[in-house]
Amino acid sequence: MALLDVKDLVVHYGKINALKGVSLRLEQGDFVALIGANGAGKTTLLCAISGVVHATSGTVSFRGKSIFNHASEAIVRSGISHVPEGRKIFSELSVEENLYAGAYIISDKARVKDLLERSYQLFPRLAERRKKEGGTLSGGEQQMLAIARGLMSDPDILFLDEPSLGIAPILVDKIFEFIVQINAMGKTILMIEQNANLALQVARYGYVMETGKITHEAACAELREDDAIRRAYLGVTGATT
Amino acid sequence: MFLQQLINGIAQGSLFALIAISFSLVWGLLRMVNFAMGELYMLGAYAGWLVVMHVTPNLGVALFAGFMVGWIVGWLIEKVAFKAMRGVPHIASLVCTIGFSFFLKETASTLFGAETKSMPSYYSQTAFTIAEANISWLQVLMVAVAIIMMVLLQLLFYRTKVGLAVRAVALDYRTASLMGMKVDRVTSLAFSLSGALVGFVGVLAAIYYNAVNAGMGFVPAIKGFTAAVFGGITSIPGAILGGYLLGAIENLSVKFMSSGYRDFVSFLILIIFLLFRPNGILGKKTKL
Repeated sequence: MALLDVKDLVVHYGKINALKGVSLRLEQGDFVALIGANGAGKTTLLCAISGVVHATSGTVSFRGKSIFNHASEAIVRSGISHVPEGRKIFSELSVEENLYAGAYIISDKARVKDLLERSYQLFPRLAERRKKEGGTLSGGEQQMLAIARGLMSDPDILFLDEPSLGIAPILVDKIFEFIVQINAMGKTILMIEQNANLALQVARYGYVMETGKITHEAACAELREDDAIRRAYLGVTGATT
Repeated sequence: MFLQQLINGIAQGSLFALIAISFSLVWGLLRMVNFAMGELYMLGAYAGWLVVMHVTPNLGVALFAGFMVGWIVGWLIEKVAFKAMRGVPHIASLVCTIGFSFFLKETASTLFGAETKSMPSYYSQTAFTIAEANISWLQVLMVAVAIIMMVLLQLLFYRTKVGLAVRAVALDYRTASLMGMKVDRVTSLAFSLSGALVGFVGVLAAIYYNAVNAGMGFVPAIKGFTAAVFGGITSIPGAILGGYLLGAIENLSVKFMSSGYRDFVSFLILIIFLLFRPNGILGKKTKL
């Protein structure tokens, strides 16, 4: 049984058909990348699974139980944490308060403290800035905070939406090292990434989306060798392969 | 004379500050104004009056009754004017709160009669005298109670999990729901709390002015709103500062012009701030 099993998910925004029947599976410990052009429906897919967007039809099951169209506050309780696009840090809350907000669903105070310690171990930079307001951090620091906050609910699955967006290039590698490390901790990751090259290097399995549908899926190593994918997504920036 | 006016201003400013906090709370969460705030104040005053006239002269019980009535009616207004109207243009909610304002005022005057009820005095003896200015025990009590309320609110918002949720929802409710926060419940709670605060203030005001009537909430609500805009409506410390400054300025203005112009001063401040500094003294720029 897959950890997360999505079948034929359809989403409409008014009359616009944003997802036209998308199926996707995540196994325990997976690191899956979702690539595709802007407007392909990648963010919509994550949002429909995490309850931010209402889906029209399809099924979503997590550990064999349906979570289709559950409220987002319920889905995070079942074990899926969604780090939204653009980081969405609570700008006027301190770094530490942002992290506490991430642990909102956990009532055991000792456990929250442990998770907070773990965040600071993983991201020492955040420990240095713990009292600073979220809005005063740099883009890279905010992304670290967003990821750390997503981990504070101690989820099984972490959704990452464009973790490299708007971040200084020298920090992008650093962020990806963190993500690989988090996957190594046993967290299952589903990541949208505009930088397809990078995404297909760090993830193990990849899905390619185009206008609301999945057009390819394969192990990342395979996708990297696929001519159509290379031309469409890796072509211009494909110097590293 | 100057000192006396200042003291009166600070006492009155406590009332304005608490009302201003209520406006700030609702504004922070919903980016909206509850126009029935004055009627929540009036209902709180009636609740306090009923308690002291018919149940017990205990002031604590009266204040609690005002708090509870404000809480319950505030909760109801949120359900009807805001929750049920989510997704429709904001103006519908605003109009609905105006509707509540009229409805509550008319209901009160039908139930209790149009004439002003007199409220017994409490603690009206002079506590101490400084340079010919008298400070009554009631004034001391009002300032003390207001400060205690503010400290409790501060503790609630900055030291508890619920407070963290209120602040997070106010900043970005979508992201807050991704953290597992129940946005509807948090909003309802904060709205009820804002109602409870003005209901509580209504009881204090009834005692301070020795009067209760159905129309009593209109002017204080606008004063409280002015105080909130004055201090910066997005900021609770701003609301407090605005309340006290407004109280002081209004009372001191009596020294320079006829006391009939007192309300004029507040509204002048409101208009000037809305025109030239809509973010108030302490408020941050907000994107609407």
